[in-house]
Amino acid sequence: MAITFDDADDRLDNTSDDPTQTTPLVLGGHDLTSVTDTVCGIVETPKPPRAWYIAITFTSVLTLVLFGMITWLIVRGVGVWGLNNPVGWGWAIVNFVFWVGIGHAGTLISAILFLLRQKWRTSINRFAEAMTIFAVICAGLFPAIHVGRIWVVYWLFPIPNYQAMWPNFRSPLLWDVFAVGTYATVSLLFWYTGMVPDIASLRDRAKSRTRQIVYGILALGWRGSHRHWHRYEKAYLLLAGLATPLVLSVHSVVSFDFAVSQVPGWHTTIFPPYFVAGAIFSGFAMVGTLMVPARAWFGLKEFVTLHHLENMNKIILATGSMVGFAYATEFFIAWYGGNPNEAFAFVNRAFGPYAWAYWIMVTCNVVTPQLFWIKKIRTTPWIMWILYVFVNIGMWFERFVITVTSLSRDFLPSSWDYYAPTTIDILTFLGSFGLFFTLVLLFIRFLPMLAMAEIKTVMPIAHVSGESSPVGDYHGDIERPTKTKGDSEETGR
Amino acid sequence: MTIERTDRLGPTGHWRSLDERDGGATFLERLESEFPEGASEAPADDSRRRFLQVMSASIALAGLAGCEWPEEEIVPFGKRPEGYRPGRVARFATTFEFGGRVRPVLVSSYDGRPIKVEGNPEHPLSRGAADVWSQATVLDLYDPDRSRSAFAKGRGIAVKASPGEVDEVLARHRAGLLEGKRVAFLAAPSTSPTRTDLVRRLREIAPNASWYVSGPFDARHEVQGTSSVGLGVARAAFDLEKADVIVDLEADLLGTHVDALTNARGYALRRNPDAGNMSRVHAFEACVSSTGTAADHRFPVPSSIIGSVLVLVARALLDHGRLDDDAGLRNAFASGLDAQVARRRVAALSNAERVFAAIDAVVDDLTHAGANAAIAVGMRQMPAVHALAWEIHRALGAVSNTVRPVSAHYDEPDTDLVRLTAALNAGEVDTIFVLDANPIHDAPAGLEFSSAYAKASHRIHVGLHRDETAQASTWHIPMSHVLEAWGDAIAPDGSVCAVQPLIEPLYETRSVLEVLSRLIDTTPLKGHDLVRRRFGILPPTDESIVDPNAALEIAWHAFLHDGFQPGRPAPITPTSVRPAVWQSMREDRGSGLELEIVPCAKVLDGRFANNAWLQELPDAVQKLTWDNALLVSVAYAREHGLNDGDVVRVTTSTSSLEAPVVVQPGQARGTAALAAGYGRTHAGRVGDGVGVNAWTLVDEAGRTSVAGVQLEKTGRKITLASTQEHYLIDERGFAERERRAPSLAREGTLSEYREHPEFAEHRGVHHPPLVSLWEENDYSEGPQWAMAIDLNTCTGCNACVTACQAENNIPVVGRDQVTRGREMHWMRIDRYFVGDPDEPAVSYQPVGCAQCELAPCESVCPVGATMHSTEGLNVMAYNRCVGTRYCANNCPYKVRRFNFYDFREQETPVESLAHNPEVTIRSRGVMEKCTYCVQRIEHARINAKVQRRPMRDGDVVTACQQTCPTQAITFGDRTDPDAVVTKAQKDHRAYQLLGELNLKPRTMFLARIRNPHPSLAPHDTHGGGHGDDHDAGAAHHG
Repeated sequence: MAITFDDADDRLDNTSDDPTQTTPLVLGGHDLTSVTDTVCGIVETPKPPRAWYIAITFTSVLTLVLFGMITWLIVRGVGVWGLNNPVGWGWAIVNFVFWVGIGHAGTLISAILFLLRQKWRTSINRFAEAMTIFAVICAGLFPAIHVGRIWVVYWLFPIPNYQAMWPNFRSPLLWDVFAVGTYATVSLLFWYTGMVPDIASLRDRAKSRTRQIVYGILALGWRGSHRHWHRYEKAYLLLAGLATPLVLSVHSVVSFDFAVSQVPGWHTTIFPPYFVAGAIFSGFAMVGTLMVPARAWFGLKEFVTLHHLENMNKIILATGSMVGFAYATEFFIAWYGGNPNEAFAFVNRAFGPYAWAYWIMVTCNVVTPQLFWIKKIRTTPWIMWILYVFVNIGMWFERFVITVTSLSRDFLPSSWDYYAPTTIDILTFLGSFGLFFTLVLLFIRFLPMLAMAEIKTVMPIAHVSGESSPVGDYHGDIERPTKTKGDSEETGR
Repeated sequence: MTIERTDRLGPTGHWRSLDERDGGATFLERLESEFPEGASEAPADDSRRRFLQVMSASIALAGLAGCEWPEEEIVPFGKRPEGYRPGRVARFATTFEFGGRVRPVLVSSYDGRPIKVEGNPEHPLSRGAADVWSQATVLDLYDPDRSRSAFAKGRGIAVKASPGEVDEVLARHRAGLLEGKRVAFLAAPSTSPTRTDLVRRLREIAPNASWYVSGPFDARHEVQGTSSVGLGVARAAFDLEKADVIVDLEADLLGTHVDALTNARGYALRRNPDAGNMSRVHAFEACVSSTGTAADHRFPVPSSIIGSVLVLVARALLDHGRLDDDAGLRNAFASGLDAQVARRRVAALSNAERVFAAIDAVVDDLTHAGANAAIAVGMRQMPAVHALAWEIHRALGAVSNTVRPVSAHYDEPDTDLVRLTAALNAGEVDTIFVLDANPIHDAPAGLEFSSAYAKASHRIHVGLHRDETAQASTWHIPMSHVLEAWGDAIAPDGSVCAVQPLIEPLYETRSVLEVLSRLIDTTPLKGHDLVRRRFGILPPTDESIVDPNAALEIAWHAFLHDGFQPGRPAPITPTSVRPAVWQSMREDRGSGLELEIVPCAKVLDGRFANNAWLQELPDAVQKLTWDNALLVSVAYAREHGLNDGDVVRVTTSTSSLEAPVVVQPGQARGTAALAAGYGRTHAGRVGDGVGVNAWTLVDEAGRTSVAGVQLEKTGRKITLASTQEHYLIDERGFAERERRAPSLAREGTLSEYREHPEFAEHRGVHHPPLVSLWEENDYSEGPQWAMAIDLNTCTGCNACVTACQAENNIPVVGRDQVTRGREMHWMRIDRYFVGDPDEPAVSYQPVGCAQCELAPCESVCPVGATMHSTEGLNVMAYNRCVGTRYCANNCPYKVRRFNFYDFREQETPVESLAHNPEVTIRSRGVMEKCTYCVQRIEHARINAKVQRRPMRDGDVVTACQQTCPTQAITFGDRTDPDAVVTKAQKDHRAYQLLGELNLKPRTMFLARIRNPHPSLAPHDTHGGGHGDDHDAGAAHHG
């Protein structure tokens, strides 16, 4: 079958808006075994597709570029970047906020949608969570390397020492350390916990000794017993509960880096909700950017259906509108607040030396998502993929506009200056994409891309005991299908 | 030593490289083009070792014998000499002299190495103030590019020579002198009585020797003008403290004028708006100068028209008829001055109406001021203009009140470069000695001095560097730095100032006096003995001591201790009046764009080109570093589509060069300006290739105002290293800057001030009552450090910036880093142009860390590297800083500086000797900023403790405060109600910069007051704020 991004086949269209019809979440007449076969098959193929090799070669080179740039940075000093006196934060911080933002979709899908019983999340949550982890890794890199003396960066952590020197708890940067640190930890736990039953499946199907050992260790001795399932469900629910406030808190705290300062253009109370909306917006766009090609290349269109994509697009539309509204509010408040410095900061954004960046941002973030009102666009993968890319660009520029334009022209006109990145800045940013995609490719190759155990619960076959609806039920009844089917295997198949 | 090498191989047949063996072109080229740089010099580490030896000797000697300087030999530092404590600072008074400027200074020396220059507080002409050049001189001492040994050159091959060989050569030339060989000397202007004495003896022993004195921008025109009205070989010196009205005709009294420090002090004393005798300054100039920006009125006028302005002023004064003695003026008009010609020339200006109004105002002011008027004429003006100023002074009765002639015999009229060139070209010179001058670089190109120079068969250069002249000479003798040499100088007030070494010469150098002594004296004397011998001629001051030898000895010690011996100006022999001078005023100066070549306020005439502090110092007006640029008016730039950095080809009738453009608001229409002192080719690693050499545009007459210049765009553009944004920015930014400037650097007129003494407070932003987010600390217990900066007397002279750089070991980052906005100066001087771009009001505002009580930098630092001290200082713990730069982002004054690189990477061990040991050298990746000179605070605290007394007001003097020539900066304990700073902060004019942010800064500014003439439209004082409606109930003002 030729790989297409489009779902021309009517068979795959489950985007009907008719409320009397229940749209199935898995198409293609899959049964439980074929789900396992399909998902595990991607990992078990002895040879991944040639495209995978080409892709990972390319991304590995980019990753090497990243590490090369970091080495050069550490050897020479922060001066290799384009920073100057008024603009103390440049691309590194822009990239940090950008990547942290991307990392938001994972937790949102895993935690909030889980608690809200949005069953359609099951097909995309694993992928989104993985993406979160990788994005947070990329994000965490930048604040660490942007400091002047990276060799003492551990002073940001409250490590007990004989001099009783503590970090300054009033500093938003310290809050950042905790917020991002917590977020990374909880996301990782959540992702891994959810993956345990699926890794056990891989372990059971493993043919080579290495695979058996590695997956065996990773599966933490999962046998699929009722007790395991019971504890697993409890843990998953608890982690979801823990992660939910984090979705809101992380980017709120990141926004405090700006909002708590007094730089005109940063010092504004709208930042926390605005940043969170923006983060979800960009996170979903990045999930989409990865998912649309992945479902085509790995034959997952029946699991990640148009219905899923459409739902994501609706979220993008909602959060994108919030972001657009926030832009308008900022301008209104800048005028209404009567603070001349703030008023100038916003006028300068839109019409000053960085107007080009501002209008790229507005075009990508405000205009682009509005196209998702059109159903055709919302349900046509190649169009939505282009829009996702635009959203990603727009959200990077949003952070650039906030960070750089505000700093470049603050209170004293004598200190105004223009900031421009150096080649090192640009290559470091491109390199971070290398790292991100390398991790994504490794994930695709070695771990189950879809949450098999969870997908099975939303298939009609899981509900043969007389329930009429495949949706709208409690997630935790996963043991029922295995029982009713009389399947006594020890795995969670 | 081999002067000539005929054979390709060395005398022993050895060769150092294949290239040499084969006589390769590159090798010969290298040998010919330049002296082999550091060929057989000790490696850098050894120079440090050598330094330490020298250092220990000088400490030992200084400690043992006070100011005496006996035998110069190395004494090992086996035992600590009595009275010497390691690490204790010792201060010695000495004197610098450059370009006719005599600067009595006090140099601090740590463990034998001089590191900081301050003005001599005892000397009436300095009172502790020092200009940027004096302060930066200390860096020249440790310049790694200084010439370290003598070189001889024959047939283009340079060979190193030992001091003994130099002695031999000098002895040979002495013999030649005695035989009557034709020897010429070219020396920089100097007031040194010892040198004068030596020159007198030279003329006695060698009738065929000729002595020429020349330096760029010397006072020759002024001396000619002064002598033509019968006042002798002299120039004008001013007492601005007595002046009610000052008319500055391009003289830049407060900036590049030879007496700038004295002038600035006198000016400042009369600028107190509360004293009721505030002076008024009118400035007429083409190119914006320090004085122009400090003036109450500045009128942009081309240099060639300034004479006409003065003629009109003179005519009007005569017509008013209330003059003491108008005979001289009447004579002038009778014998050639023509007011009609002058009127015609002024009327041709685009701003003629305004200039005529200005002339009326000036005449009005001069009439009222009478004897208390001062008119200063720039050195580039023709002699007749200077003469006319003297006649006006005479007529007003101002001579020997506000202005007096001071001897300028070092600028004797018949000894200039033109005559020397003629003599050289005529083959009248066999041997020429160039003493501490660099004519190959700074002679006017039209003179073609280099080709004339080559005609002398023996050319001996004595200088600090192997500069352009050294390259063209047959011998180069390295000169001792002024901090290594003995000498003397005469200040304009007649006091004889001592030049004494603080350190043994670091290299095999000798002073000009020593070189001259070898040529002139039968028994050559050392510098010390020369000065001492000369001193013996001076009458001892204390006549109560009977024994003349003892009296002399006591006087000598006092001389060295104080750094000077008070005296009266030598009487000036009157000259005959030469009425012919007036005729020259009729000469037409040509038309078209006029180019003014001006001395640089940083590298002066190029002698400081290799001084990194000065190269990186932002120019007061353009804020340009590391370059000179062609300044064009805003109107010209708009008309021709020029922008900052556009490279243009400047063509005069004789030559041309390419230079980048800077658009300069306030530049007179129809003129352009270019600073001299750049485009050096052999200055050293700092100064080579910086900027373009303005002298290449000067004709053989040496005129620095060139008419009929053509500018032509080349289409190229370069990035200029400027520390402030360019004048021409986007429209919105421009408008916002215009809007904000009046609330930042606040100013008003004298009448406004009298009506509303607290006007300054109302020029800020309206804001609701301010509430702190944090619980505020209690700062009621003293001492609580605070500063006040009076914008009223700040002239933007940069002395504070350099003082801070020297005191606090502030690194130089280089041109490239400045273009990236990474200069490190802890103190900067913000400059704002407000109003009409042709005639803008210019405001200066020195900004350093304000030590905010509610410092926004402190709360955001994640590691607590910047904290508040109990004395209200915002302190930095450098070794705790991880370098997040968040503090700098959050600092509204943008005074924090980040070490983007290790800016000391390239530093040689010799350079590192210039560091102040009391201040940490910051490493890469940490933030730094002004500390209110915390090391000086601690020093004062320890001193007070040692003396068992509480600290008193005036104990702590910050570096910037100490050096400020106008004493615009005050510092002290705010809890002391009698402290000067407390009073300053309670002044009506005091305000907080960005007070609306509730930062509670400890540094406050005092608004500037201008004193405009009532008849002239009120100067565009910052109209911001809100005039009269400052009653707005709950609204507070910042």
